[in-house]
Amino acid sequence: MKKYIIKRILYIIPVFFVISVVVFLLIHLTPGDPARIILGDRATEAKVLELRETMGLNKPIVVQYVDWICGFFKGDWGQSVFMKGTMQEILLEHIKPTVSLSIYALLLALIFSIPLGTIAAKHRGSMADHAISVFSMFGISIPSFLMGLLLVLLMAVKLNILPSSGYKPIESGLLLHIKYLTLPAISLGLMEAGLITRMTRSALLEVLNADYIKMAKAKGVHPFVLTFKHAFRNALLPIITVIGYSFIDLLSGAVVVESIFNIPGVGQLIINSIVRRDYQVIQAIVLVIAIMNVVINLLVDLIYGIADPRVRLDK
Amino acid sequence: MGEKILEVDKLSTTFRTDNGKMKAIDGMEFCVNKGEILGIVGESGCGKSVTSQSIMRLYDEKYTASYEGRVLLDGEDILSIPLKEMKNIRGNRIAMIFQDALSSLNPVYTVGNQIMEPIMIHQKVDKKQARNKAIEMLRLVGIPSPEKRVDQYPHELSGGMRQRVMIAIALSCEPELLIADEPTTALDVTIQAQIMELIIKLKDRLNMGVILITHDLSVVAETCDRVIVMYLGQTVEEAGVDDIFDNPMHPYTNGLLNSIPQLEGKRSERLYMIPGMVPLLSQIPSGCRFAKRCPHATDKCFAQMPELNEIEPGHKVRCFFPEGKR
Amino acid sequence: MDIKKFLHNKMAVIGGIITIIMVLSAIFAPMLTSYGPLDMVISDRLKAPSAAHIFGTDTFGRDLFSRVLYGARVSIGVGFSVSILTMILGMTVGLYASYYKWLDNLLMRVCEGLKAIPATLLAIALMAMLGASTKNVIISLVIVSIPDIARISRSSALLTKEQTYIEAMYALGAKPNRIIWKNIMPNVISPVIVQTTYIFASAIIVEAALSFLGVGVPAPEPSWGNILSEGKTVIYNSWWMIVFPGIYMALTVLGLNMFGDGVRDLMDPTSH
Repeated sequence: MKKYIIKRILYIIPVFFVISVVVFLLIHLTPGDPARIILGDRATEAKVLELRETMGLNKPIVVQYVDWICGFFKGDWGQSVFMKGTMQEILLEHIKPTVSLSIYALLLALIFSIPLGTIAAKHRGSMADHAISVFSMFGISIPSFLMGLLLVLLMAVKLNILPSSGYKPIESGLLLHIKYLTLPAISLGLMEAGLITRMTRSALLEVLNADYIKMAKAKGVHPFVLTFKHAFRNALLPIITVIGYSFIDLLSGAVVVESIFNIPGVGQLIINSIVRRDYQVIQAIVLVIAIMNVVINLLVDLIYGIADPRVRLDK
Repeated sequence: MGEKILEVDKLSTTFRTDNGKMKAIDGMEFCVNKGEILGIVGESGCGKSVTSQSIMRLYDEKYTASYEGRVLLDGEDILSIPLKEMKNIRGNRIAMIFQDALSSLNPVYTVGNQIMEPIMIHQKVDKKQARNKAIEMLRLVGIPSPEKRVDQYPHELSGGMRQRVMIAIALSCEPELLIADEPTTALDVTIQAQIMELIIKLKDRLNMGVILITHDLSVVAETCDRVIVMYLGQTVEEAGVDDIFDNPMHPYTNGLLNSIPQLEGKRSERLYMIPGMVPLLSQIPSGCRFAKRCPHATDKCFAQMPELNEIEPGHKVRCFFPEGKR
Repeated sequence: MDIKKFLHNKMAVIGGIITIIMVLSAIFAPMLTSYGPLDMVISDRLKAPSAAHIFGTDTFGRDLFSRVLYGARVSIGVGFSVSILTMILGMTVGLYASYYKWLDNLLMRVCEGLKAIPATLLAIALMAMLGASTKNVIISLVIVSIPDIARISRSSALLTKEQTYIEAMYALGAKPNRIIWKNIMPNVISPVIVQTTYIFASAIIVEAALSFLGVGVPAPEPSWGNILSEGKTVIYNSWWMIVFPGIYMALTVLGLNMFGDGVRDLMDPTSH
């Protein structure tokens, strides 16, 4: 077991390396001179050259990369051109609403999709199954921002129950915080709900058809126990994997949804940074989220290793 | 032999599929007595497994399968009792072992856990007693160091050991009837012999009735007391094991026996094959189902379905023109 | 390839029909509407749906129906280009990676690195770098989607390679390219095609998201995304700006998903 964990963790290193290269290239291949962009069109050539020197832009690109990476490990994540404070502070402030929103959306999605997927699998071929399949089909076909717009149209304009814009941090009270996040969470969560429902259904179906379920039935196991002890225990593995990926999906979906509901999260940050050409912020965001992704995948793999004895005892 | 444990009376099973309804088995009739091994042979798809799974009502009855006929377990028709009462019978009075032990054992639970499960369901014992019983069962089926093995996972054991575990699970509650669905097909020949020996030994010890499903005639010859030959969902011949081999009467049985490669005889003889192929269940012919491939078929055979008749005492055939000695 | 079986699958057929209708309406846009998508009539701005303008008009008095249809050309066109390019490039990457061990390590690490960055985010970052234009949207989305196809091609190819007939070809001295394209590829293409239909659908969605945020297809050229973006600013009074393009987009994606499911069931019946 230990070997598996260590192996998995070591594996991250090359991936991290590739991510860092990709992100670095992303910014440094941008057409246009960053120094010029910062100083504006009116600045003199001399000033631009001076800034380039200060920013280290004249060094060979590999050196720039090494500098950047080392800086990253030392805690220097770059500087925003427009916002005050360290990059860490900026990111932290903006990531809180996004994470809150994503967790809320994920919980909403799970509450509906796992039971629905289970029902669909157990009653395969019935009306309920077809209805659930249609519902999940619709879910994955309506992108979150469209859902957001439709919800705003419906709720705020016609029905006026939930706020269609704005954000209240947790410090202002949990209920208020949730209230403002509800419409965005539903928009985000619907697509994920569709995906998880389908995944749950197919994972469970595959397991329910397995020989060991037939065998358990032949032992006289109660149908309830069959589903929850035997089937679910095996189906849970792919489902957990999907949930892990879902979280990152939600984070990136949040990027768009935030702009509709005016939530000051990472989404808004990245859009504004693009408009203002605040490249170092974009770079930092992409890097951080990519790392989060890798860490979450690692966690999912580790949970898989704990849950499925075949994995951990291999080799 | 002993008294009758199981009596199958005109059992038919129909499945609802995407292509319409299909009658997988039609009018199966046989009995199993205490201490005897009844072999059911036939090609893949002839309905052997369907018969055994129908007896235990393992199929989904809400959307898929429907049954006709009766299945009498100690005189009681278990086909007509409410489905939820079946769980008291399964694993308890009738037990089943399957062909592929690896896929039939739940990969995420230990071997011991899976043996303890039926014990704790059907018998009023606590966890500790169940665990001891599980270890005892492992010892009974010939697994060395059972105290260690009981906490291992299925994929940690060899194929032969897994099959023994399945037997341990099946016999843990001392059932009256054991249904063994191709228990040795996936194993090496030497292990096959060991497993069959084990099954016979335990059968004698518990005085169980056994239904042995297989397509391997040599296993049948070695172990069974009586044999049923199935073709396309029906019994075509039923007799004692010696009778079946010495005096097969149905052309299909003859064909099966002829297809076994002989050790003696001329080298140059080609291996005998029954001409034609098994028709699809959706295209079951009217009249005798074997007629198309039968070398002796007449017009009557294509027009009418022959009944299963007792030609000689203890020997039934479904044929208008049963053959004599080969 | 059992066409008859496919036709039995109602959802798939409906999906296929919907998709075809959408595609055709995009192709024949000029014939379906007399208005141009860029024709502004300021005096007619933000009119509700009527006989003259069945979807209403937008903030510049442009006919919304026309913009939605021409927008379909862009959105569906982008989706289609992305799928085809991704399929070809992704398969190439996957096939060669499965064949040459050293290439495998290199390419797969790169793909994993790319996959670590969520698709939408990566697309946004790429667009920031390249600048907003339809061509760049296609490039970004292809880059984002290749790792997925590459991975599927590779695992399919690896399975095929295990087959003894490949060993036989090798022993016969067949050139690698021949083995890869003539023998391994046909086995790989089924799962790839299934995934490509999903990529088509997701490309449409991501393009719309990019355009919605302003980093996709630049105005005034219509795309469902930037029409919705305009609609957002006038949402309180002009519901048609959201509803019609929204329905159109949702239907197209729905059609593609249903069709994709059907194709998947056809190629791999065990998955359902």
